[in-house]
Amino acid sequence: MLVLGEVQTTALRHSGDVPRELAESVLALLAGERVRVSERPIGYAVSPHTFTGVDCRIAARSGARVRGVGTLMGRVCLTGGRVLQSSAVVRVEPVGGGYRRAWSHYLARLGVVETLGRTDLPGTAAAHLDADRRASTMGMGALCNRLLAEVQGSSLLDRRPPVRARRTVLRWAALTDEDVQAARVRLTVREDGLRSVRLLLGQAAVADVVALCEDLALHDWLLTALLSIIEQSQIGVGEPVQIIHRLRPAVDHLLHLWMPAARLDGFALSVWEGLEGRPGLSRQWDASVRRIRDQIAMAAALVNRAPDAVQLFR
Amino acid sequence: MRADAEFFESTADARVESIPLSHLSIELGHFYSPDLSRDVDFFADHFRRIARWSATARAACRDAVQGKTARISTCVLIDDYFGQPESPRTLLPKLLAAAREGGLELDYLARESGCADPVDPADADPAEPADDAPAGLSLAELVEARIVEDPPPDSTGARPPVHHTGWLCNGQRSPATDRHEAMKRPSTWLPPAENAAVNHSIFADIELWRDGERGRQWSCAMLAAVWQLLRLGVLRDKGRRVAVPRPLPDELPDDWRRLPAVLRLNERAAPFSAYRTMTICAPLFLPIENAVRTIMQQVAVDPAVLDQLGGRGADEGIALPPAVVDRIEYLFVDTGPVHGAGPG
Repeated sequence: MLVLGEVQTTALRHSGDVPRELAESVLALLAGERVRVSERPIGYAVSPHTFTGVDCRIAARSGARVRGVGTLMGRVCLTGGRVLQSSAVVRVEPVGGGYRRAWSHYLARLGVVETLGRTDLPGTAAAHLDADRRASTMGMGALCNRLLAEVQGSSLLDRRPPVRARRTVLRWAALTDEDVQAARVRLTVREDGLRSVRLLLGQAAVADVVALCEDLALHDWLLTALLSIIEQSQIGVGEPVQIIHRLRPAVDHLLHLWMPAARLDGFALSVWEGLEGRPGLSRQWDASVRRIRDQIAMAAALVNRAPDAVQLFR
Repeated sequence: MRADAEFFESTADARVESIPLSHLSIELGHFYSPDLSRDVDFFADHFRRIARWSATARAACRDAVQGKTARISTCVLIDDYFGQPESPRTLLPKLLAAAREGGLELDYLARESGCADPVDPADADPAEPADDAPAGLSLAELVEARIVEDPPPDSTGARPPVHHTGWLCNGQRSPATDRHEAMKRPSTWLPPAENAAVNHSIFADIELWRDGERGRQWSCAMLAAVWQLLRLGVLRDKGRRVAVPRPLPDELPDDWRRLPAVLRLNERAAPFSAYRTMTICAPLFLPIENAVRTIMQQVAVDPAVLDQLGGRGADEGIALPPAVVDRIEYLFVDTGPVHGAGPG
């Protein structure tokens, strides 16, 4: 089985708290369907699944292209009332025949794209991960963009994100093979900033793979946002008061959100454990958090000091 | 040692309510308002003409369930949306008497407005006061939200959904050629194309609704598609049942809108919704039913509901076609004179 996906992560354009009702309203992408909300161990809300029909050429690494027909699943989730993610997911399934069936056939298997013709699944996975940032497979990037825009454009949001950080794009491909004993993962940060995750799994449910990749994208974005705030705070250059002022959004809005694998279990936990070994996302996060706290402690120590003592801290 | 802990939050899982199901729902008539003021003989003639086809549909269903008791319910749909029929007090006794005369029993009656009006917020559960429920969506809106358009070749996820035109087709429209704009060369005519054409196209373009001064008016085809989906038991509002059949009130009102969307006329009736539907109607209805099928082809039913129905069918030894449009059947027969069955 091959599952492809893309996750885009950004800050919700809203400065205030996001109570449950607000989360439910802005994520209501499909009339008559519930927004699922959970509070433990971290505030989390996920929109209903939406589906978009596609009939397009899918690239394989060899340069060959095959026609794929079916639907992409799209959803949006909000973590801690701050981090907004849109996700496009599709299971690619080769079928015999080579002709397109009635559309009702594809709507009876939502989230699946059938390829009409010979398909090299590992090649398709590689082509998806290696593609240019602007040319995502089956228009997944455009779908993610549209979903984010739909939520961010809600009139219920005040459009003042308290944290300014770049949107990150994580593309992933998961191949499952029953013979695989231990899950394998490869996380790459490309030169153009795009993250790619290649997973090789034993038996796995699509929903669990999606949850894992969204969780990886969430934490990658948190770390990226935190590092960017630290960089812009000019530690060691600016005045302590200014530095603290620039670090404050991280303390107010980001530090409590780090919770790897909060809602995951099974193979997803083992993938996280693997990534903690190398590249060690939590290690870098912890070091960054300590750096911020040290700056705050130092600034506190400088308050109410006699001018001559302040020299010691320069 | 680590304890095996489980934790659930009830709003975090998306459960869908289950509903009682028959094996077959037979529609014995779809009456438009010009016909609804006819006398009892008109209806008796209608029912007499279709009685043998109804009996055949029942026999086929009994064969299909292989010796088990077949659960079959019958229904009629009356148009109180595009026209104003006689009051329930006059019409209902007339319909019931005519059906008996024709040798048939009417189990349920549905109002077409019931598919277009906001869903009845009243729920069978008295523990949950209806006041708390926000004004519901109409069944037609619930269905429209689930339309996933049939993509023409070379469509990717970048193609935005087209929800705002009120038209739904099964392919690619012929590009407009009648514009005579200055500085623009007239383009040559190109044919429309059906997406799943076998050699040649049968292109269908269906009007779902039209916005006017008095708000949105849904098309007959759209409401009939909603009606088929309701009979197939696949509609839910936030996981909850919709348009649950209600018994006849002790005293019939003068206004149809004071009655529930689906009325149970027969206390011993098998459940209203069914694994499959059979619609017996005049050939005049063929264009509407083609439109209904074109719409149903593009409605993405909640996979959780499909799984639930499929599982219950399997428990009864019934294999259901995966696509809901394949669960509906028709008998197009002479039902006598019909008025007003235009594609409204």
